[in-house]
Amino acid sequence: MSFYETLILTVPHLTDEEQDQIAADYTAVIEGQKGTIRNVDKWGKRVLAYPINKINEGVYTLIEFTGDGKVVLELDRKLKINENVMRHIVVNQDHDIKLRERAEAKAKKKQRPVKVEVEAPTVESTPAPETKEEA
Amino acid sequence: MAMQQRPRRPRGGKRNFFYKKKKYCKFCAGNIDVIDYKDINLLRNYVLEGSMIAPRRATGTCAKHQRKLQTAIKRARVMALLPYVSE
Repeated sequence: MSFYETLILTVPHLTDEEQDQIAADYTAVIEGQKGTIRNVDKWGKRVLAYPINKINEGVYTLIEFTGDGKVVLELDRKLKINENVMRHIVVNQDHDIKLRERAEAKAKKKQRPVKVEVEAPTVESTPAPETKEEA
Repeated sequence: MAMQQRPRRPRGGKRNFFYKKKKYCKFCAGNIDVIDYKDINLLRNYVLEGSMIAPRRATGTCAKHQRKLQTAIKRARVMALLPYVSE
């Protein structure tokens, strides 16, 4: 089991219901291959960086899921068939998630010694006036 | 003698032309290990005019992060988030 994400770029001239249907179709494909969906993010219509087949806009949907390699094969196959899908990409996120966790753990370790330093100067500042009184 | 007569430059006035600010890898400094292909605003900083990938000598990125940047930019291009060429 690995973590994956797909970004799907579909044709802009479909209705909202049809766009939702496309997203629903692919979530069904993932679930059909015993994958689990973590998140579906609809970016909506965006202007493309360059025209694809003389089309200047596109609708992006991001699906994050977990599953086996079989899920990716089946998803990729079905995405290639659909004419309404202009571009798609499937990315394995296992390594990225590991790196993010490591970075968070590092940040936590760094935070701890800072707290000790903050407490120290308050202790030092209080005895200072006493020395003045003695003099 | 001619050297001594030359007027002295005011302190802190002119910039030293031979001094260059040292470049550093912003990903190492910011402790960023993951470069996301969906983060276009970040990637745009590392693309030259004409949308070529900026070389390391221009941006100061380290080798490790440049490799990650490269794949991220290429993925973004496939998905039409970034252009391959621009006028």
